[in-house]
Amino acid sequence: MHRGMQLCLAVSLLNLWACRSLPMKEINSYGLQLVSVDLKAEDMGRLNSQVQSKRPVAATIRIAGSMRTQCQVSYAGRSSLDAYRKSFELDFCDQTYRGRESYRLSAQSVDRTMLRSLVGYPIFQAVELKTPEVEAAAAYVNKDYLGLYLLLETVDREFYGKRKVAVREIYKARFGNAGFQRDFLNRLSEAFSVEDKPDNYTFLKELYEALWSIDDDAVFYRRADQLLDIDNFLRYMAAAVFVCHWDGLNNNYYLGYELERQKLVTTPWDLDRIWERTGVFTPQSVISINALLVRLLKIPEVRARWIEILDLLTTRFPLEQLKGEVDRLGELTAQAYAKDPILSRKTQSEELDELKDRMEEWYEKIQDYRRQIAIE
Amino acid sequence: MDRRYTLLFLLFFPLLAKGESPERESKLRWEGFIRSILESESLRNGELWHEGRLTVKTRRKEGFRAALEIEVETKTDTLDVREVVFDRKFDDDRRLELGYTQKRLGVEYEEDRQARTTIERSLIYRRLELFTYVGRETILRYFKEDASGSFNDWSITAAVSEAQNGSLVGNWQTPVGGGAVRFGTWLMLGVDKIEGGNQAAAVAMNSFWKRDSESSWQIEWAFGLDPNQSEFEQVFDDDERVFFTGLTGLYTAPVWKEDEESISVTGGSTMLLHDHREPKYNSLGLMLGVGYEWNDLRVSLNAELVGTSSPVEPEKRTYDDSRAALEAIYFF
Repeated sequence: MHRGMQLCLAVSLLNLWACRSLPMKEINSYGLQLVSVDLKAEDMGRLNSQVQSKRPVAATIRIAGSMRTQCQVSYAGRSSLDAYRKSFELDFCDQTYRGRESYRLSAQSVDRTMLRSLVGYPIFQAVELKTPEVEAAAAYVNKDYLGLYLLLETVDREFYGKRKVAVREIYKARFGNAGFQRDFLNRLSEAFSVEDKPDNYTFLKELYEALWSIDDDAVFYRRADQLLDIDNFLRYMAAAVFVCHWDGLNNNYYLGYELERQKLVTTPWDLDRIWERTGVFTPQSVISINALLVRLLKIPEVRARWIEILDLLTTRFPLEQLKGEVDRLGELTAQAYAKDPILSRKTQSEELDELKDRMEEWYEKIQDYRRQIAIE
Repeated sequence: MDRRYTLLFLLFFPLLAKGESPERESKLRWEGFIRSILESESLRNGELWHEGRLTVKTRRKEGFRAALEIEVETKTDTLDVREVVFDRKFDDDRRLELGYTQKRLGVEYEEDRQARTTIERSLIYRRLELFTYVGRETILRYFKEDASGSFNDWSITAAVSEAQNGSLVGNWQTPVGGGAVRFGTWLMLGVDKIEGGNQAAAVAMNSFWKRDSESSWQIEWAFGLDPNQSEFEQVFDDDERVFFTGLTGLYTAPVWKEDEESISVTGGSTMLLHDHREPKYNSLGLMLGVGYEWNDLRVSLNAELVGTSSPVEPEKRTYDDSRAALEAIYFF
């Protein structure tokens, strides 16, 4: 090799070795799961210019203590795509984190407490629903602190597969149209999206038709029972009403067609608005959002089971316990919240107090509702 | 894509070029590169990966031509369509391009990879990429090539991105100092979709550059709006616009040359001020490189030291943007 080349190589390598002791940005987990994503500027630019199509770009993803992979990230979500603070879909390629090859790094852009999902999912779990795993995370992009995020499992084939449930279609409620209203009987694609099989609404359509064409309640119940895991649906809806998940009765839930039982099962999603607008809604007005629930509750046996589930929830989650959970999680996320470039503009304690006030307001409404249906 | 297929594609690329039949040659032109790169971001965690890029162009017929560029790489095992362009050339060297291709600002975006003397574009371009002021979008470009065919006398580009950002880029270039040196100026005006509305975006890039076998150099200055920070200010703060500016210089000269073989060294530096309100928040970059070239094969080692001060603690400088890379690239 040419002597000049040898000299240049030697000097460059020596410099590189010396540079390893240079100061780098400090990365702090703030006591939470640490997730960092590194992208080249060109890829970051591509990501930002392809926001709507959510096309993935190459990235290095690290979840501290668990994995480091070179794979892909894309923006995620729907309404949050226009928000400054965006969610990311992390694809781990052939590696896994908690048994999954992909995870959502969720910005929860409408939840200023960042705790609603953390408090909410255990409530759905308590009524034996399959729920996404979720944990608070300190998120970094190119070593810059992005803020307090949630590391969240998405509901997809991998979600059901991990839980040993074989599903065919996975319908996702969307656009606030999935309240089983008659208007959408022939426009199901405007109410639900279908993963992998975009045109297969056959099974869901049968449920809609049973709801709107069978007048006799007993006949309707028998038909609905063939198509839907009614108890599972009731447990989901009761938990949704219990936490004022008004955005989860015609939106933000999944119906998976379970192959073994040949029935639809319900899975909760996106709890960032629970206990929101508690002054506007009542349990009755939340229930009225979903026509299938309204119809089922007219059947005495179903109504009795509904009351049973609500009682279970109020016993299992007394108000003080819920408030205590908010305080505990608030403390856990306090450091990450205080350093968050956007959330730190709010005072966490004020946001938590507001959430607790709303919980209290809603809890009273639930108890009023419970007393009222007991009289009925 | 499965890694085996990625590697198979990579091997397949140059064979495509070499295997052109006379019939095919009359209709299509194939060009591209394959490269292997050992890269160390932040001077840590070296990664070895491979990439191939293939451009297929139709022969020009009655002034029309179409081009498709695809890329395959082992980092994420993906096959990606990078460009789809339709091109109409008029008799007086004016051309009209329409398709998904690069929006260009500055000399490093005007030139192709083979003409560039560094592995990655300069630091100032990474800023423009981050702000999506350059990069791939759907564009309509009308331009006039200069006499050499390597650069343009002028161009005007309308671009729209899938993120619903739109922009217009005007460029004018001229030889100076007897023709050895060129000057070019680019001005981009655009509208970015942001949370709750839109914001105006603007950037100007001015470049002096010289390219010949004795030496290559360039001096470039960019000034414009930081769309990311400005969006943050608009959504969460006092609606103040944030401007950035940067100056960069790069020099390459051969230290040894014999027939088709040469060894050259490259040095460059960049200064970036990220926020006009706080000049102490800046990045300083120093780049050193050495390259060996033999016909269409090039082996390069680049090391770049980049120190960036903190926006909240300007006296504290960190070096995460530093990088080093060893690349072997073959153009076909």
